[in-house]
Amino acid sequence: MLRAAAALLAFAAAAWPLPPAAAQDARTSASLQELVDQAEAGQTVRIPAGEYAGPVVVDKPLRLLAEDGARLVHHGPEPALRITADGVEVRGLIVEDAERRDAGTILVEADNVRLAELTIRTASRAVRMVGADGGEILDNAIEWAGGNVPVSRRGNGIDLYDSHRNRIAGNTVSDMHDGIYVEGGDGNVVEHNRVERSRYGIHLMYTGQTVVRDNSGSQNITGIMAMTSHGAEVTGNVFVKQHENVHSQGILLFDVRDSLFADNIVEGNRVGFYVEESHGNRITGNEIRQNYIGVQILSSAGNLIERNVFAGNVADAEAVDSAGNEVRENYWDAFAGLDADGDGRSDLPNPVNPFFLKLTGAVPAFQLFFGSPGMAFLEGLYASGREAWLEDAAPLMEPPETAGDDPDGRRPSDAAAGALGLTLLAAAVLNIWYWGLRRS
Amino acid sequence: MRSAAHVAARELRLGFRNPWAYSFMALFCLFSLSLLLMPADRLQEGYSAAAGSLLNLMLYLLPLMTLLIGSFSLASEKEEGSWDLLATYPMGTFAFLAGKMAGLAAVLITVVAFGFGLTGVLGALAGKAPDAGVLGMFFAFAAGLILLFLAAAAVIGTLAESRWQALTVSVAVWFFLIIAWPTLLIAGLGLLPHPWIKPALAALTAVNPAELVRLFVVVKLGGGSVFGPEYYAWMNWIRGAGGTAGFLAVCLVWIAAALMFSHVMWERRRTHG
Amino acid sequence: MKKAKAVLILAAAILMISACGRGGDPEPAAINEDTDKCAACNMQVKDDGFATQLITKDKRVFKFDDLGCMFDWKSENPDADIAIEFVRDHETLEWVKAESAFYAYDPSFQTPMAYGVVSFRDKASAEKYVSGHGTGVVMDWAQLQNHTWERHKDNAHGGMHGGGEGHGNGATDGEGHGDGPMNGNGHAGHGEEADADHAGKAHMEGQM
Repeated sequence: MLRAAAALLAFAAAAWPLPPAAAQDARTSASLQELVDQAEAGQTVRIPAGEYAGPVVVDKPLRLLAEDGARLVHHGPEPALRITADGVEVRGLIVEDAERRDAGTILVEADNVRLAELTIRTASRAVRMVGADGGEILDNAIEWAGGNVPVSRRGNGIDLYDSHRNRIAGNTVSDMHDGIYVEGGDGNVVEHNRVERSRYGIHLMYTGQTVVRDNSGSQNITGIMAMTSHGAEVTGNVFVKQHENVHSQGILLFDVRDSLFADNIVEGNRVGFYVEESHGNRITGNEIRQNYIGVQILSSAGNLIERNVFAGNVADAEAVDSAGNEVRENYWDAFAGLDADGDGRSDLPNPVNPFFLKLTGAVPAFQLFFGSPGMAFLEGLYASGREAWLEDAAPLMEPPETAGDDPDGRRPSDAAAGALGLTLLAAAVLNIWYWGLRRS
Repeated sequence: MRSAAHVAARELRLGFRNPWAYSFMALFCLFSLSLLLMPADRLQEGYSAAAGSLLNLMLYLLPLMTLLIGSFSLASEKEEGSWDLLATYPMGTFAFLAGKMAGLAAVLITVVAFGFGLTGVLGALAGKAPDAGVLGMFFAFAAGLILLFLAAAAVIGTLAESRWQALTVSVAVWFFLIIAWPTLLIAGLGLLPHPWIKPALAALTAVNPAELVRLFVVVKLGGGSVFGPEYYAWMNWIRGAGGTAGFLAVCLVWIAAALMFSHVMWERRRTHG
Repeated sequence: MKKAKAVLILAAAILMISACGRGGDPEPAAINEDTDKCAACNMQVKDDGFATQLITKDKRVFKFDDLGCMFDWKSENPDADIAIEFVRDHETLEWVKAESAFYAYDPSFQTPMAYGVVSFRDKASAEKYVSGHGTGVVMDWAQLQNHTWERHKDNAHGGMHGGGEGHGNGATDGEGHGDGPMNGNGHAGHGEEADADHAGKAHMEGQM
């Protein structure tokens, strides 16, 4: 009886004409814009669960905190969410935008904006920042929702244009064009993000003093694409399995100056590090493992390449026109050094033969000989201009202690190999016994 | 068919009662086991240094052994006069040739299976087993090399007048196809106008079984992108099911052509000899 | 013997096929976004209006994502024996011989590597582009040889840019310009104007 009364009461309450603030509670496509318009600058606005229609323009400093299940679903030519006021924070919202446009799903044109814990499903660029400084883009999840088009036709995940001192951290981006694209701008920090199956994981273009730290990714065309930038610090990143595309690499440097590339791990890529026309950089303490080609260096000078680990690469290094670099104390597992004085460094240098890179530069078709036994023979015959080769003057005899475990963490299964081995062995022994040993 | 089976059985018995099979087996096990001794370099999934060096070791060893054993076996039939004896029986020349090659192939593949099997088992026991998929791929690679080079050996053994000649020709062919191949092609194709180099190289690769099989395995291990943009479309095709079928078809054509040629030559000898 | 014959026949066939293609200028090669990278800057070459290519006398094809990259490559490879250079008409995407094309230039024009030169098949469309943007100059091939190629990045956060400094949108062009092949001639305006608009606004706000 009491229960029935309570239910009745609840029903009546629900049916009662509601005050405006609660109206947005209802699961209609109540406008998020109204909510924003009604709030006063500096207020915190809670966005209740429900589906909202875009577009939304935030033109005063507000904190928009979305409750679980609040979704902004947008169709139309404008960005789903556009932020034009400094100091706006948006947190926890799910944004779904199936429209293709240049301006992006979320467009930020103001300073000190914080976007956190958003889920963005986009057919465009997910977050575009234009002339926006001092913002924070934290812990967002970005994925492509534009159907099956090549990655080269998709939009960027987080796209900074001429924006300074922003912090991009803890985001995950998958199946986009460039995961995080920074064009122009100084002093941006990109850290602890993860990018998968996109074109370039992190792409720097014309940037200064960018910090790219502890990011990870796999199966992109290129992990980190650093172009025409200076003063970058690229450290502690892990990029594996960039090997599907014919131009794939873990980390590429083109026209990069005075930057630091340290303690990164590039594993299982087509090329681990690709360095071209780059000068004055320090490349140290990186682990370059299990790539088809460990490092390729072209037309670069004045770089310091030291204490890196080259292990398990099909070819460790290829270099042309790059004699003027300081290369020392790297560990090359394929190099047999000789350490007579016992200082842990080989007395014999490890020269990098430029023959194959030169040959395939002139005639790309000859790339078909990569890894062929006869090619090793031919390279052995080639020694012209030996003094102009890049060489490690004093390679390490043992890997430095940084060398850790396989970041992949996957070991081949002993059981599977054992079972296959046992099958093969048993078949072979049976065959030998039957035809060879059996007295018939 | 029955007579071919008899010849094959004879070849198997001969093979497993002769020391060469076991010395080859010892050598191959040594190579195969050396994989386990490489320290951090476990044979992992995909195209890696370990996979690359194993590939090259096999390219050095298997074609040479196969060419020698195959061509010797045929040349000695002639030299020792056993073919003259067999030729008096009602047995087709083709049955003889096919049976011989099948028997030899079985012996050689057994040797390779033993080597890889031992590596798999010891690797598993030592806790550093290679990736099973890669191990299987390498076994297939070895079998492919053996079959294709046995076909080449049939031709050499057919043309050679003596075991000595078979030996020298085998070594020369091995050196040409494995060691000197890139050097000669780079020198030769470099003379062609640029747009012809790629098609010419592709055509020549199809007639070198070592390169054909090597490329196939690297692509199947996922390493096709290392060959660059020129071959992108082919690599994608080879990686698919169509590629496997195409590869098998090329191998069959290769083997069939070599056996046909040998058959014609032996027939000629049988009727004219 | 048989094999030798087969190789000979094959060689003859290749000879005939390639002989057919002789005479006249080499044809422009298609852009394949999966495999083409810029011979100068290493970026993917998009199948858009900014792609260019040059073909040497021995029929090697070099592709570029930006006309400026092609000039960069030419200055670094002065010995290259170039047979022909192609650019694209920005509106129709058809390949045009570089020497007979016309060029619109302004530091504010967006091109993949921010060189700011856009190519057209005739003078009228180049002029239309310039007047549409309200800024820029039109050049022919001869004038373009004296052009100083610069990547217009450094003035990006200076004060003086009226229409918005939205250039060098290398990768993000996928959105704006990438539409090109899908919707004929609309691709240039749509992408750029949107961008220029936002960029301009942002800058104005920044200055206030």
